[in-house]
Amino acid sequence: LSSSLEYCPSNFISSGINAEYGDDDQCEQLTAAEVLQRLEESWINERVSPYLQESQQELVDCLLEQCESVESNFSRASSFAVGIHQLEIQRIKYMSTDYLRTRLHKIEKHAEYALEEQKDQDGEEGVLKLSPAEFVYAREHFRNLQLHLKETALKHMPSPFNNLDKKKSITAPNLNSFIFFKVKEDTNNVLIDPRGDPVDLSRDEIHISKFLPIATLLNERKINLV
Amino acid sequence: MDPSQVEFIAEKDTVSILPNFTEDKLYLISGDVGPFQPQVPVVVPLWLAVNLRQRQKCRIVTPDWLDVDKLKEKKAEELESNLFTTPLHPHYMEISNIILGNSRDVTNADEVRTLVKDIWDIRAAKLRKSVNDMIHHDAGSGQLLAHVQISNITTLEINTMRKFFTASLDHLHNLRNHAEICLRKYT
Repeated sequence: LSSSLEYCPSNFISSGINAEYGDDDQCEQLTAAEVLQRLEESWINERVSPYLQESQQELVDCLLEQCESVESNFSRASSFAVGIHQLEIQRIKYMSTDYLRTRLHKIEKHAEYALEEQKDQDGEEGVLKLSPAEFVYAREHFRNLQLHLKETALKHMPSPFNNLDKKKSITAPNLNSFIFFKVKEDTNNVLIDPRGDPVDLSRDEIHISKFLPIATLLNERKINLV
Repeated sequence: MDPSQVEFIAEKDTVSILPNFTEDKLYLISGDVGPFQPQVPVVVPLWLAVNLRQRQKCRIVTPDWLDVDKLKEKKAEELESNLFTTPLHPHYMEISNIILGNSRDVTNADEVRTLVKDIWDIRAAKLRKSVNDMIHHDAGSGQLLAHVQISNITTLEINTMRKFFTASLDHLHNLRNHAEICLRKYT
């Protein structure tokens, strides 16, 4: 009984030992354990950071498929093994749902900002922050909110105040809030404090700084939020 | 982050157990465990060890660092040094709580519990002191520090004051920036 799945965004075959986690042009060969580790790191980053990180929806989908394939093998396994596999599946499901829940919470808080950012990024390279489903959710949430405000209050106001001024109503996240991070890879000459000098970061150090200067390092997976 | 979530993360760490049953190797998504044979030590994740212990299917082998002498040494080391010493384990507090709570196999459990708590208290005091120093530090130009390095601190310790600390740093920087802007505008 071995957990097995091969997954690529374009096609999906059930076979093999490794979970293949695909990313547009490059397919990375990761074991299921590595996918789980990556999701855990993304979950912690998402919980602690002030704003949405890049969407790791593929990790979540890949893991859920792994869980399904394990569950489909339950009939062949002893009840002891089934119990333990179920425990693990519950842990994985908790982590994935909490990850998605945190993201949804941030989307609801900053729906307009996220949509604007996505629009600006359209056509550029790079991973989008909102997955397709999240994009639809953000758009609907924003529309419903606007409609609600209009129907309950704005409609009854005199005409200069009748509309939501887009620029004034965006609740942007505070990207300068402080966070703790741990260094994964040695990096040199990072400008953490804009008024200070560039700093060298070595592995396993823990730092406190504002979020914005290290946001790119986080995307490159050179640091982990703690 | 919720403390229970920090504990959830700590439950992934491995611990050695002595099973009292026989089973084949299990291919879990997070790694392989087993095979299980009576009285043969096996390395499993903590969440699995706790579950098996609760079902009376194994005994948990106390980790090396959860020993009275080691803890006394560590506590002395911690008291001497001004900075944080390397923690017993990156999740020492969570793991010791879980193991002491679930397993009756720890020798001198009460003494171990007291020593771990003492180490925690000493580190918490150091943390408070360094937070205080950071806020009152003058970088030579009346500006607040925007970047500090702190090492050898565990996630749970960070988590105890994360919310309060980051929120207050935000407010302080905000106020300081506004003060600068006002000074520039009106002088």
